[in-house]
Amino acid sequence: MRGVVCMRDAREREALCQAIQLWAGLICLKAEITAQSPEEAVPAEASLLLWDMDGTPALPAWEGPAGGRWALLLCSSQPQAAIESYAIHPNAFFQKPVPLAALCQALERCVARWWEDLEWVEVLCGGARRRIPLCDLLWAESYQHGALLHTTLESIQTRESLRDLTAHLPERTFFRCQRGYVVNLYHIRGIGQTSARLANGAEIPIGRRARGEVLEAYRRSRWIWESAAPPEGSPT
Amino acid sequence: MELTIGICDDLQEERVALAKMVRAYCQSREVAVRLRLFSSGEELLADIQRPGQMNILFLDIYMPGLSGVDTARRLRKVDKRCAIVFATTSTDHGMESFEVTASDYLVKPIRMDDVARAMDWLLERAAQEPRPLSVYADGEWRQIPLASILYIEILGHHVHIHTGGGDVVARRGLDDLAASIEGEDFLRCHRSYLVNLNYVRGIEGCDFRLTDGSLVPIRSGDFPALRDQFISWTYRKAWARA
Repeated sequence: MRGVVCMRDAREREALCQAIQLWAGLICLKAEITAQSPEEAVPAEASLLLWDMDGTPALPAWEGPAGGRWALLLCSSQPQAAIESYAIHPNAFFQKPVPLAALCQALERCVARWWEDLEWVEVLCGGARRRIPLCDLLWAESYQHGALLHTTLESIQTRESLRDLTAHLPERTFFRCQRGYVVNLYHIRGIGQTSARLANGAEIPIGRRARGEVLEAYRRSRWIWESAAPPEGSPT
Repeated sequence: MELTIGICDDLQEERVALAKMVRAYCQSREVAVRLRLFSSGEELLADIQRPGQMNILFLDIYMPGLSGVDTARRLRKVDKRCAIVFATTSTDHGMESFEVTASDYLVKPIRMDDVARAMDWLLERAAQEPRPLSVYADGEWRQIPLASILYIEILGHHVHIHTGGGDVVARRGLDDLAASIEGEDFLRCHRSYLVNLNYVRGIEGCDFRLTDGSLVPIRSGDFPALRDQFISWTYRKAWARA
């Protein structure tokens, strides 16, 4: 997925560019996000455009790739600009400063448009190879000499070991929180003394020795949900 | 295609004026329309019990009782696809309109141009939806909405199109039929079968089990790939509904 952030303020556009790139990394979406000023032409192959309406004479002349596999997000410091923006029917409108939680929710609603750019994992299940989009893999656990993968829709048993499975999962998103568990950081909503709570309500055990590292890894990803600036050194 | 268009405004003169413009637009575009008028959000919500009852809704915001924005929020719990066009004196609710995925926001006094612009875009978007399946059956041309088709099977020289409202039999090849169906919801799972994945409840053995209890076979030679296509479609659909 090629994304472009078009804003007049260089600091703002670099920050949003970094935020979207981090989001894409966490959700395991292959993406290249670039920042540019509104005077530059939007590349024809861009499938995500975040455009700042402030200080620009006109709304972007951009149609996106054919087939509707694109998303247009607009922002402005003037809330009334939301009404003007209906002239080009964006997928979302934000009042500046762009709230990162709202930005991530809008991007999530567009994931289906970039389906071909998602990262997948293949596992052996019942003698056949199964593909699972990594964004839907919530956690995995050791199970009967193999592993049990829990996704947003199903649980899949494989004879592959948790260790072998973990070797194929990106470290920026998946963390070995306990000897028998790997968890997807993107879906964690809270961390207690002995477990992590996921968005679907599941509680995943955290090893005593791993808790500090899990907290650190989670802190590096949680800025998405707390609308704070991404911390330095966040996983890419 | 007949559109069901609702207009919800507490002021009768506003309802009547907007209805007149919408009717004039539809007549000029030769679009069949059924207009429904409501004087409050409560009256509207009492009437809308399931998705698909209304295609487009023009919705005032400042009304006694339930506001237009709150009405829209409750409507969205029932119907995510109804196009909502806010028609209001206020310019203060543009941000909230995006929270309920509105299609447009018209500021009163509303002119014919405003209605035409909003309707043009909505009709253009509707035209991009997959076209109904056109078949010649029982001596006439039939337009079958794709959403109503559970699966299609070929028996001899005829295709049997199994829909929620009964079967349609046409003399046509399945290859030709499959090529004319747009969108990604249909899967050629077998030499003799085309299935609408929206009606698949799951896989049982080597068959798709549909929501009406039917079993549709999956070509054994390509079972893993076809199963993966179904699973990928299921995950993608879940994201698209988010």
